[in-house]
Amino acid sequence: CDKGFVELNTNPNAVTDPILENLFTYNVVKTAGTGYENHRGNLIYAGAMVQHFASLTTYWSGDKYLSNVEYYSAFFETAYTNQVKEIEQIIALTKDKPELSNKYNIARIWRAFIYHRISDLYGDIPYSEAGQGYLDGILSPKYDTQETIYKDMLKELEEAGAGLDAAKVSYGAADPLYAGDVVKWKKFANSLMLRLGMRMTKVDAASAETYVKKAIAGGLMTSNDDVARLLHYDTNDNNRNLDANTLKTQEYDAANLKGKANSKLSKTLVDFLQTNDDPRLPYIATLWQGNADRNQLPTASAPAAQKGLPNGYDPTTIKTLIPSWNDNSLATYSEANLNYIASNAAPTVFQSYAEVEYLLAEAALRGWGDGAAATHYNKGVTAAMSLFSIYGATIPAASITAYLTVHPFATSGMTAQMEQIHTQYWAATFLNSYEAYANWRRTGYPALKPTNYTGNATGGVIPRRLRYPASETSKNAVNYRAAVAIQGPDDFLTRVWWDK
Amino acid sequence: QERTVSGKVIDEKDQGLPGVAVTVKGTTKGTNADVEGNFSLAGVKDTDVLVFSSIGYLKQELGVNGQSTLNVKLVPDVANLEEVVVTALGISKDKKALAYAVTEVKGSDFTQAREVNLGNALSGKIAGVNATSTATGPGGSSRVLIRGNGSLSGSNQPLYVINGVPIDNTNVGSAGMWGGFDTGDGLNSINPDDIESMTVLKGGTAAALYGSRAGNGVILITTKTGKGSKGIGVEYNGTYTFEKVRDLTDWQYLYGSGTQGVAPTSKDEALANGAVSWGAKLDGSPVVQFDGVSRPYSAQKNNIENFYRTGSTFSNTVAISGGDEKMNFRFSASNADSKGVVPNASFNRKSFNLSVNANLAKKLIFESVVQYNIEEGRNRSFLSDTPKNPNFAAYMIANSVDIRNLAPGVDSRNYELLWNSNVYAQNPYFATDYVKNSDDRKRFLGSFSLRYNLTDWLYVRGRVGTDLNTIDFESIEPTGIAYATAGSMGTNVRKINETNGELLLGFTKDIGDFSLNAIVGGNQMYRVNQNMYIGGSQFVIPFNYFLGNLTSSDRNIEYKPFKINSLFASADLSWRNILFLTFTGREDWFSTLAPANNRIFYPSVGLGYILSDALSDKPSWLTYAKVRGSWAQVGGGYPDPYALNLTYTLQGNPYSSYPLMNIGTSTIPNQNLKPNTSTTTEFGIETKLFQNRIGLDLTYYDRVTTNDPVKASTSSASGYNDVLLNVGKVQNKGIEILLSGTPVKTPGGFNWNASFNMAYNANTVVKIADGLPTLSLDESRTRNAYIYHFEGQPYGMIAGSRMKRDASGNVVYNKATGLPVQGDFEMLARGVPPLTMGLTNTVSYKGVSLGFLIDGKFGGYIYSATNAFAMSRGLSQVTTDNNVRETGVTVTGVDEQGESFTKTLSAQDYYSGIATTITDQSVYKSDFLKLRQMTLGYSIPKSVLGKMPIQSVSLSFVARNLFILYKKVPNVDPESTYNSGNGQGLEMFGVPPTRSYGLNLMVKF
Repeated sequence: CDKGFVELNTNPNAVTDPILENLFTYNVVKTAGTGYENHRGNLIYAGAMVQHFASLTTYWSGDKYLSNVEYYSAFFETAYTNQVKEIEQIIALTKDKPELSNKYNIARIWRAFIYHRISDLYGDIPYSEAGQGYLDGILSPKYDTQETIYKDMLKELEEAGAGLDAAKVSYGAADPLYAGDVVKWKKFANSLMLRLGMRMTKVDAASAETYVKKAIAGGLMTSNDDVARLLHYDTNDNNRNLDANTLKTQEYDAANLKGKANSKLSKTLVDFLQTNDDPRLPYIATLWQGNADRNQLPTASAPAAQKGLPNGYDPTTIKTLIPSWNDNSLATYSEANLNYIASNAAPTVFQSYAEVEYLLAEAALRGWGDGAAATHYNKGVTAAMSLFSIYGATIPAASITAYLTVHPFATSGMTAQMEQIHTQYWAATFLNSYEAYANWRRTGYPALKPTNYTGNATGGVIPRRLRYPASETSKNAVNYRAAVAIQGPDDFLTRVWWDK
Repeated sequence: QERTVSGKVIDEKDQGLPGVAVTVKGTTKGTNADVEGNFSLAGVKDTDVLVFSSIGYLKQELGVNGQSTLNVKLVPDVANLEEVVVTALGISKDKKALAYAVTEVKGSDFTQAREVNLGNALSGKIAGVNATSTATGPGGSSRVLIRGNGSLSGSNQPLYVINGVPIDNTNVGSAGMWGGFDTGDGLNSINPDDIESMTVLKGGTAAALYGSRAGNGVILITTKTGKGSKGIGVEYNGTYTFEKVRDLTDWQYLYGSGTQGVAPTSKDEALANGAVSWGAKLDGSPVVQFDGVSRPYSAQKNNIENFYRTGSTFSNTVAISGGDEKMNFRFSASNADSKGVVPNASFNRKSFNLSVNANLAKKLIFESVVQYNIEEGRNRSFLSDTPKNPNFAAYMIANSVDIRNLAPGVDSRNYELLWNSNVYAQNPYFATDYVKNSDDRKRFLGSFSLRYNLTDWLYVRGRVGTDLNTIDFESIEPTGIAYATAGSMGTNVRKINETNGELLLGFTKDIGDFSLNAIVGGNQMYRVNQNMYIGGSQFVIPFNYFLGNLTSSDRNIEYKPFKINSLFASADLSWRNILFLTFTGREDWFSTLAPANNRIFYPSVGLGYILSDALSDKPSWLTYAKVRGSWAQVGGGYPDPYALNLTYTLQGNPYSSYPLMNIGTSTIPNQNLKPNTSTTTEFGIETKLFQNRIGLDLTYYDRVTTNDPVKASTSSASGYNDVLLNVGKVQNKGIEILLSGTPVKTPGGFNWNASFNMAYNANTVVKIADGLPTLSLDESRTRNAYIYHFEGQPYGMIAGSRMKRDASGNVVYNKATGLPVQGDFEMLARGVPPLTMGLTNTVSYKGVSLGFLIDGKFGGYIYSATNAFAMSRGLSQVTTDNNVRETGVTVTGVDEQGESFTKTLSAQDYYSGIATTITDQSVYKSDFLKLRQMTLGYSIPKSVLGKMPIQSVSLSFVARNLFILYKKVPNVDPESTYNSGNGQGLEMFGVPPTRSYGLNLMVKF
């Protein structure tokens, strides 16, 4: 009585044998975001907390340090179900298969990238048992301490980088970062090791030094050709830059709102670029007219015309700061430039060569690295500015030289030098707010002035982490409570391990 | 002396009455009359008394007194005449013979004060049936539960069977925490005018023969036929009702739009506070509003009445029937046209029903019913979350803004006119006039049966039933919608087709005092659920809404076939019509389970005993008494197709030219799933006293569901959202009481009939699974309220947080904010009311009759997100009580370090702070008592109609949902959940409750 049942219960619109290349492409594309968590985690929380963005609304929770359960939950929930899920599957499918060792090791590098962002934002997180719902039947993964996670990720990067073998098969053209070039993957593994190693300076300087040195010895990115980035095409959501598309469609909608958008660039960012005559300014910022009509760019993106919105105000309280404020004022503030850095076809940068050079500058200051800090700083600024070519903007070498001439690396004073390096790092990680926020917490640069909006969740202090999603308090209650008992209260002020 | 007595039994029309049982009183000796009513019984003593009994007729006793011929005329038993009920597989049985509780409702109970959805019409009518409507407007779905929830996450609704054939009742679209709208369920297709009767099979025994899908009970619908027609008859039934919203809100009207006690001073501020009423004292002074226009700063109390329109429902049915002894037919055509109270929302149903029955040859009987439906839902209201939901504005607009000023919803470019700064909170006029959704359902239902009587005690019957649904959906987010001005659209074609083929062999024979009814048979169910989606975003040419005009598009195809094969048998054995014994057994094979676990066998047994007929000296007040008991198992709870293996799918759009593949499911598959078992034990007594003036039907049941295949929600850190597991034990114990009576009955024709039903269902989730003490069902959009199962607690508890307290009970406050700290996640209150009741009264005198129905539910709770929003937006009364707007709220307790703490916050900071974190602030009792239905009818007497070719005319005034006599939850209707799923107890921005009145006209020619 059950003849033909197995065939009947086989889905004709799906396959049971995965194609690793296609899984990997998917995984990288989704790590760049689905749009949902880009908006909430990257832009609204992290992006506003580091004062790249500002808003007069209350839904921009990071602008005013308000607690919005949905927004602080978004990155955690999406990262595990859209990023961790497939990368763990790829690792399980390639593990212990010598012929697939490159695919396995590249996946391990990428897995470290995925987890470090989640941990940086939330602290202790599910790691060793995470993403194992199908593979190991673990439905409620335990939380690991950030310290354990960091040490394991560094070990993974070291092993995976060393395990790459140019003679063996890789993902080929389906690898959207490096088209299967294992040499570049190795540079990325070491560059990420540099990032993670440096993250530990406050809490475990010895380990930091060890890994920074290992990273340098292993070989880092050496030019903008090595940047870990995903190219985008403005065709559909599997191809677009979804940070950009979110700004375009959900925030600016320039032709419609005519500058009365719910978010703007922060005064902190615009002032920094403007006062330093930064040649990147017109490609980062524009008035709404430029976003509504490309032909308006020459005037709309003129550096002198740019104006950043102060963080932490609403349409009523802004009048206490700017008495002349009226309903037409908002339209005169700058938006991210949808034609260049925030174009739907702009690549998503996961880690840039400029960031590597800035970290090397810091390493040099600490005496952990080779070369002079000033050299690395100059290379960093040069790389950061010339990288604008990937956004379709050409910043002439002369402009960069001129910038460095006017703003040379400080000759002395660790504090001033660190400030200079990491303020540049902060500017270079615009739209990669996850990284800008983590690096700001570690270094304290740039020195951001906190706001104190009524009803804020921190008493007027910039948050040090995001709260865990509400779903974890209920669906993973036992492990959640254990994690909170170790890390500290689940609020915005508890510091993550490397930030202690 | 012994003799052979023979004779003829006739009925009230002097026709021979077949099959009458003829017994010698006090012995087991007896016979049955033949088909002509003739009987012959040998060995009868002159002093014997013969007892003549037949279903539906009063028992009659006659002394032999030396006669050899006895002719008897039996009189219909009015009390029992209607007690022949349709049971499993469409077999009619004497209600007396049943070992379980069934309730039958006549079609006429639904046709006067009608609901578009039949499920809603069940509310309060049957003990043990808990019908819940959703806050959706016309053509929405309903949740019908029989004896509580048995399955933790699977369907808990009964199986609907029309003329013996199961029909699809899928709720094809519903609102969840992220909004959406309800596109109704399969029950919407049924025209009440076609219903002859509806039988509710509550227990496992009753349902055992329908198999796995009957574990939650069965509702059998028998449609009208042309049986008994003499010549051609025509019937017309028309109802027109209109519908008005009831504004249940009771907001504060002391302070208007604004923030921190200040009224807006610019258009931007007015926009930021378009749905925020934390402003200054209302003083009538001119204050700028969202559109830049200044208007008096004064209370607008009628926004709800002013926004919604008067809805209406006009339904017309014409039926023709006719036939003779050999053949009969009935054809009906109907049109029901509903306009909802939400502007532009409508539902139209046209249905055509044809029933043909024929005795093809002497022993060959053919029966068929076909129905064709055309159903159109237009612009069904979005519910729950705010996007496209017009109800949000109607409830939450700042109390100093007149909602009519938001009309026409668009600016000069036909873009959405903003009224608040949240682009996801739509302008209500834009939501109703520009946002579009439609669903067009074409449905064919057919049932064909052929019975061949091999002998007079053996027959074979074959039956095929099919339910073919095709539903075309289209939804448009138009150009100019605030959150995505480039617009988007999507279309779906959904097909749900189910076919059942059944073959059975039936055996009916009387042997002495015993009579046996037995069947053996098999059934094959084949169901296919298909969905094709094409959609995308950004119209190239604005305001032109077709798929080819989209910049980017996406597609998805789903094809899910499913089979259940079954073998079954049943035997009904009766002794002298006093003692009845029933056995059933069935084995099912499921295509969606792995071969090792894909079958289940389940038996049932039942016993009924007619006390009143067994008593030799029955007291005169005891008309009828029966005791019954049964035990039954039903297996079921199979997963959807493809739940066994991990599969990978390809995204519709590649990245550049590289295909994207991902794990195609968010549910962890499980090879080892088994079907569940639901075991029901029930006992009952039925009595009728004082010549049917009082009737009591009492049932106790205990239903245990074990091994339930559950979709359990997992931590997102597992990579998946849920998992399929065989877990759990759920127990439903309860009593059902039906008390009916005729308090007044005068010879002059004055009658008062009353019927009261009540059911209490004690539900316990005994066990979920090892290491899984809780199970998530649903979540509110506010993301601080949930529906969860907790081990050892009733089904579906509302869960969330209270304020955190220290060991001495002091509230713990956050030093930085002064707000109470959110306590741990915990259970708060039960979401499903355990007590349901209904009271029906009908008073009639000559041609006039007045009826009303009061129903109520008690013991449940509801989390009202509307009230939570109202608290955070400054609309609730609590935000002005005790002058807190002026004095602020002073909190006293301890801080997180345990030091004593006190602080004064503005009312706005305090209430908007707790509204979204402290769940129990917005949990209310959902108890209610409603005057559900009222009808006042007049039948024109035959004498008035005289020689007109009209047999009867009746005209009624009808009303539904007239008053809420009792409720606890403020501002909203306690019955305003937004979906009909398992997670009951969440409310958010549904269509306000309505009251409807109208006229019903019935004419028979």
